[in-house]
Amino acid sequence: MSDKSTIPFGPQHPVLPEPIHLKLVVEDEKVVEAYPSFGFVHRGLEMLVQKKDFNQMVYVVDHICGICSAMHGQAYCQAVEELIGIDVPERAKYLRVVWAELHRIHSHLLWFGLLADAFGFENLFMLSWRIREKIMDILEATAGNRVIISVNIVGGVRRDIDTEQAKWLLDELKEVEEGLKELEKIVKNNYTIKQRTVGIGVLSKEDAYMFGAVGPTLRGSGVPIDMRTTGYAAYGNLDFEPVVETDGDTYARTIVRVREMFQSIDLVRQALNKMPEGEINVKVKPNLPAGEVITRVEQPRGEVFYYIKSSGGKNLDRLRIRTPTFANLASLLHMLPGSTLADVPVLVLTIDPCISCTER
Amino acid sequence: MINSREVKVDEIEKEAKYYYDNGYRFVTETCLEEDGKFKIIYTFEREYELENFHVYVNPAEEVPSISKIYFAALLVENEIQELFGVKFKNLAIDFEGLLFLGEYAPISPQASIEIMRRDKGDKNE
Repeated sequence: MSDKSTIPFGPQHPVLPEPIHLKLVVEDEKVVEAYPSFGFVHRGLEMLVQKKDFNQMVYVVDHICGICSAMHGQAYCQAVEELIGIDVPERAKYLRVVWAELHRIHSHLLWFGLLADAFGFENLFMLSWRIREKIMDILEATAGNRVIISVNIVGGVRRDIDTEQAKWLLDELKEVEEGLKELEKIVKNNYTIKQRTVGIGVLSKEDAYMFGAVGPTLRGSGVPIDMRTTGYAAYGNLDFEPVVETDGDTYARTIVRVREMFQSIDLVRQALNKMPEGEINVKVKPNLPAGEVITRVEQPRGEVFYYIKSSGGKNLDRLRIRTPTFANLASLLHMLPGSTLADVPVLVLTIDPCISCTER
Repeated sequence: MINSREVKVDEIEKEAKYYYDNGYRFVTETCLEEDGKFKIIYTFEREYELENFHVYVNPAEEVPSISKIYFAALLVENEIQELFGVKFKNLAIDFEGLLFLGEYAPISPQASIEIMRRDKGDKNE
């Protein structure tokens, strides 16, 4: 006869950088059911559209998340720009790519450090975050801030990267690339990493697709969907193919993220080399037209969905944000039953959860 | 700009099944208020193309959940239920108002249409 026990996981837990609660029903060491609850950092930011005008809202969405902040601003601005019907200067589109890809690298490195910490590989955690510091320095030098860089505005971007700064940035990226090669070597050869990730949290291609998974969680299961393929910002002018792995386990998702960091470096190089001279923003009229727009942008964790509705004036009627972690939670709930209790921290981190994004 | 067609509340499950059977993945549901009613927009995707349909729901009306067709709809429907007070029936898991909000949180904080929470076991009722 087996007895079921219920174990609370979080909201405060050593592997969780942000609070999420899971009620785990276990039989001995095996998880048989998992129920999430959130709300520990719910801020109701979507409702601020009623009080803040559409320009002020850029700063609000920038603060949804500290890791993919620039991409929240970008997605929101793209939606408003489509609603107004303005075309952003070409240079601004390339600059958006540069900052977005730098965010992707530092997000993946942050996640990698947390994963290493979760399975007790402290040195790898330190290596990962040491490389990440270089990206943070680049963000500070180019945008004036390390985390919430607030470069996007409706109509373009607020800062430029001149030739000298671009040259310095590319030199810094060479050092980042060297660090990533070292990290990649460890990921591909280390016994501990493979023991803790290979075959853990397997998500089939069909399940990943029908559970609505996005980002590395989806692509690690062999589904080549990446919003950058749609060519928003300047991605349409850059060589780009989604990174895909087919094993569908935690290791496959790790490899996707490692390969994506190299790809992001390549995209930054391409963007800086192809970036045309010119204006970086255009002036925008103070009132919005009526209408509804949906935009999607590929954040580090996957596709973010922005819906905006306006009936005219300075304020939007509705802003709805479906973040990538929100989309990946169904897959997590599918992966947890059947796993062992010891693998739960790794499984929670395998989707790279961002709770601030999810709760908004 | 988005294309969305209106369907009736009792056609939601049939529509969702159509998208499921034709290989669309679930993207999200979006709830907003229009003229004293709730409007819920359902969004699906196949090969980067979005398909939307929407329903208008009276404040007292129950909406059939599509979470038994698309499991991924489970969380957003619970979220809409909590933040707007729209009641979904046949949810795969009904968090009964406690997914995002706490036990003593305001009722349906994102809705201006006032709705009493009808979940069983609710302490605020």
